[in-house]
Amino acid sequence: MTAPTPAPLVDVRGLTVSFGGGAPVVSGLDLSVAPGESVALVGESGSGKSVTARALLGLADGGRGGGRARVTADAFRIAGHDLRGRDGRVAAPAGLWRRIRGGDVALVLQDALTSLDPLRPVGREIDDALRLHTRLSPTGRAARVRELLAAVGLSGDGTDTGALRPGALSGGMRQRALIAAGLSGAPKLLIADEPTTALDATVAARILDLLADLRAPADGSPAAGMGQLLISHDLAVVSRVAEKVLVMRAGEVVESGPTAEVLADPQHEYTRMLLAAVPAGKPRGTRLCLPGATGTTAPPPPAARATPPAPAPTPATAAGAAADPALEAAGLVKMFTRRDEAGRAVAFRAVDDVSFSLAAGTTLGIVGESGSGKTTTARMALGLTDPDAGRVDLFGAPFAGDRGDGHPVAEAARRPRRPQLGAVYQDPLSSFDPRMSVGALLADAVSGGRTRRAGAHRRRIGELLDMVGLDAGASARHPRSLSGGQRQRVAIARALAPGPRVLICDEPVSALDVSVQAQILDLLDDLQRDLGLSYLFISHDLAVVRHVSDQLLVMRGGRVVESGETEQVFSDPQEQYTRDLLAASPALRAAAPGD
Amino acid sequence: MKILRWLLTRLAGGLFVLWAVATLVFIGIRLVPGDPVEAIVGGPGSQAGPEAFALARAEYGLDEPLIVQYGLMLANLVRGDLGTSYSLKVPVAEAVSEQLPGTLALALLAWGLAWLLALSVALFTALATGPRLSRVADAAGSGLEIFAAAVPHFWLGSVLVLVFATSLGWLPPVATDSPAGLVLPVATLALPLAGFLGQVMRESLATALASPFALAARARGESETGVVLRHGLRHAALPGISLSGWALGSLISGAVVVEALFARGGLGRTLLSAVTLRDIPLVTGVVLVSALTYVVVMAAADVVERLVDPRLGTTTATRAAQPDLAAGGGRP
Amino acid sequence: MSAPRTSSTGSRAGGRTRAAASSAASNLPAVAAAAVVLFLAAAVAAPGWLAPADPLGIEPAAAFSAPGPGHLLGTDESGRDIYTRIVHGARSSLTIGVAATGVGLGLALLLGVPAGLTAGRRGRRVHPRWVDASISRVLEVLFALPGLLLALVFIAFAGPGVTTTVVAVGLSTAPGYARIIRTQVLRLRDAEMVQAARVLGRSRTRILLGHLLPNALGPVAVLATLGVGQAVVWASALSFLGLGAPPPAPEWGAMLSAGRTYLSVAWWMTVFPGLAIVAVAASATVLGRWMQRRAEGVSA
Repeated sequence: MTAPTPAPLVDVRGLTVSFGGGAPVVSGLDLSVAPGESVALVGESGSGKSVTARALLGLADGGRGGGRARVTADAFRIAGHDLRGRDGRVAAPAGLWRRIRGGDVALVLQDALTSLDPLRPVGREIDDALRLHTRLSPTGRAARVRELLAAVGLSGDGTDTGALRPGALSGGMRQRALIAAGLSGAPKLLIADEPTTALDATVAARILDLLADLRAPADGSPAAGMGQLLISHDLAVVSRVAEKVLVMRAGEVVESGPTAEVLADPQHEYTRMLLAAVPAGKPRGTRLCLPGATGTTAPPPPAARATPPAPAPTPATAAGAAADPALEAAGLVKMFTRRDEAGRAVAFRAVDDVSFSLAAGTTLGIVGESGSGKTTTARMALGLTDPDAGRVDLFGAPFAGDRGDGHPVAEAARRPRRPQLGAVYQDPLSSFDPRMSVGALLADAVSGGRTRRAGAHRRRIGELLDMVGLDAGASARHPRSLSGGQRQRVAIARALAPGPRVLICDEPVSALDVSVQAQILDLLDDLQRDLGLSYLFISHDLAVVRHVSDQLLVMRGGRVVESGETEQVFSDPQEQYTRDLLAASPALRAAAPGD
Repeated sequence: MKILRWLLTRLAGGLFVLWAVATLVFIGIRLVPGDPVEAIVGGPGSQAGPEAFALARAEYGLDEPLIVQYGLMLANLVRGDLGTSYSLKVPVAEAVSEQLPGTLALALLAWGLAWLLALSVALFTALATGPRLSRVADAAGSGLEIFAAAVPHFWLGSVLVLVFATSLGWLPPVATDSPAGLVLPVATLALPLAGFLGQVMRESLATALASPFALAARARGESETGVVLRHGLRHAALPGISLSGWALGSLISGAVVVEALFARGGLGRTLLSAVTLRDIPLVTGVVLVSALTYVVVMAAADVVERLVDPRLGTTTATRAAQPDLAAGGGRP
Repeated sequence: MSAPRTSSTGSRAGGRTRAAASSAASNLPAVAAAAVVLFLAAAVAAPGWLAPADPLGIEPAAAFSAPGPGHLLGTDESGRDIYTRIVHGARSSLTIGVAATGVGLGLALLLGVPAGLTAGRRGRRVHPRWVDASISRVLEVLFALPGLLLALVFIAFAGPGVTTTVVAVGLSTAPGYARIIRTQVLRLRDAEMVQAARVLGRSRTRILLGHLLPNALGPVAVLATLGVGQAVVWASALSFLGLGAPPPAPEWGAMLSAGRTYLSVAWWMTVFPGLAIVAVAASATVLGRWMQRRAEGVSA
């Protein structure tokens, strides 16, 4: 801290938010952000962190509900304005709020895809705050928009990015445009709500660098520096940029302090649980859930009680013991067509000469950013998409693609062998028939589609539910009424029902909170050990893949960039792209203080 | 280059549609029982003898083999000759071009009025903020729209005549050439359409105002009016534009009723009498002109829609026809 | 591709207020609509119970009676009771509307399901592709005859009458339904749910009958509800134009048409049958949207 402590930009004490007379979504929150300071608000979904960010701008109800949100505080000063009414409610005339919003405080919302108006050029969105908060002439504003675009790195190669609509921009460019729109009013405080969540790792890293650069004061004086409040579910992101961190759970701050201290020596059990759940840097096989820690959704998986599925033969116990690899792909190619700018159909190789071998009882991770072809590879391995060239063998026998005589394996020939291969998807709900209950889904899977009555297979369904850590009562529930983690458990139970020996998991934990992710990863680990399963594990998240995989495949643009033993690839990457990916992947920095 | 390509595709598509419609009508008339010549010599139950039938058959080329008749029809069509009306005994092209301007004027005025009403209601309900007011405005707007969309043209016209002509005497009960004579027909045609358009526009507007980009705009200090006008308006108009093809159908169907109701000349009335008298060349003519109008309107709507929303891909006719769910009052 | 998703706490607040507002505003109309439907169902099932008089019974002395105690909604030019005729007319008007919607949906299923199953997407080739190509072409042509135009053309061929009206209105509505069903089937065909069923080893037929069609038909039921109201309006428009049910049958459109002649002396002959039509169409819309909202709530 510098000697004369400047007046804080945010000085809020006892902030409480509730909706429609219900239980508070945020209660008793204290928060202060000084100029030039970066503070992070961390929590899982439902913790109230986004509502907090909005409440700071009087937008807790989205700005339209008009009074349904009740916001009170013991102190509420934003950028020098005291906005606390006599009755403790946070209130201000509409005109004052509008001066603060965009002028003193900018809010950069999560998901740049929906936070920019798809029908307006991004330049107009950036211009908004200039029009509302400055007295610049239209030409002056146009010049300023160009400067802002340059400042966020959107003015390369001569194209006028400001004239483009969001649909014409990539995810990273949209996020930059959104940040530019926040900066245009020259705010003293920038609130960024999950600024990197939907982005690929390398892009996210550049956005975080941009945010860090913006914090450096333009004229060198500490008081002029921009304050930042970062909202995130990701402790790793936070450890990279923030000086101070507040951990929220269920509307309350459970722990706060300097980032390095909190990460190195967490005081609250919940923080410890969150830190343990982060897979980054945890060796393969380490449990991510703390022993005795109560999960937010379900008890820890009862690995000891798990019974092997009845029809599954006992597979090889260790890697390399079996003669044939569980799943092997050779020279997979898939061509897709897409339309170029003139509307012509152009063929491109979505997957280009991909080969891999998954040894029985082990896990092969495929990591890549969006568009790398990893999901198409999974679809070919599952026999859902016919490869244009190459083949997939399951336990040494052709399963998809070229069956050896130049003809592809027919679905009818594949169908009897499908029980050996299961799949788990990113969004379990969309992989379930919306008309079926958990019991019906499992009965359908157990009986090979012959019945949907759970009663006919009650014992087996009970076994499956037990294996994935759900109680038998879940059978009567509908997947919609379950939490995200519970749904994924149901999806895993369904995949296990036919007694498969190989599971293909496509981003199975990407939509989950980190603590739930930890439970699912632990569950998958237990199941692998107990049932001798082999996994093809696909993810964009390097840390997750590293934690679960024995072997690793790095994909980019449809090609395999690098492959090998996971730890070897991580410790000694051979390719530049792999190194970039590793550098971009957020990791907890608590271990290295002074960073 | 891109524009030329688009134009050519459009043109080819339009010609295909016109050819298909003409062929459809040609086949249809030959499939149904009954002799088309009956209509020429004075309708069903006419006292004309066999000679009169033979004469008429020869005059209209109906004694040629089917394939020759079909070829002749297409050849004539290419030259812009739609044949001769059985009932009016004048060239169809002449009869249609005489009636077209009146109907066009009626339809365009009604379309404009419908847009105006629908947008006004949508904007009004969007700008009515505050918990109670917005709920009341929403319910009122929605109720009005559902009622307007459910009202049949012929009943609405009758009621309007009853109130404004018969009881109050403000407006003439039948269409006249004066502007006052147009008020009731235009209103009758416009209100149900406004109900439909209003439903989709209001819904689209509400979705836009609840979306993150509207919140982002508020977070920049934009006032609610600013959010509605700068962001919402475009989103509200979009479904209205893509509903153009459907709206045209509603206007044509409505014109048939409204022109009959207000004793106003026009394509609708011509079509009705042609259908009643089974005057096939005249029916074909009116239908072809309507189909042509449809093709033109769809192309225009496509251009406007792309200007408003460059997200649209290459599919064109598909989108235009999609909001048929809205035809039933729902949302596409 | 698999862009990672996060559950957002953000839109929750806005969504909640919207939902609360819309449920409060929508329950009352739904109840009213349900009441109308109940009344109509009774009128269709047992018209004599609601209106014991003879709908065709002439009573010249009571011609043009204004609405009052004797004749609740007045009488027509022959002294027939309007209320009785509306109640008895429900059967034919609604039958025409429902039958026309049935015809339209039937045709639409025949066109939309094969088209949806064979439509190309995402650069993947699905065979036989010509099925979707030709069906889409046919639909394009039918769309160029919007609204009642197709119905009028059909009547020009087939002549007026009740059966013709049913087929004509069905025909006019079919292309719209067909396009929606096509989209629906296409969406479901590529859905993860169907992939999951394939991975579990289900055959194409089993997926089509067990997953695809049942899920596609839900929204179609909503459409049908919305559509019945519109079909009643269109069918009555045809009657009004003298192309539908012949007089003196108690059909709402025909009653209106007859009443129009006496508009200045007996407004009730026009107003009440029209209100019946409006009530049906509005109730269908309200119920259809209520079903739609429920379905969306379920799938959300």
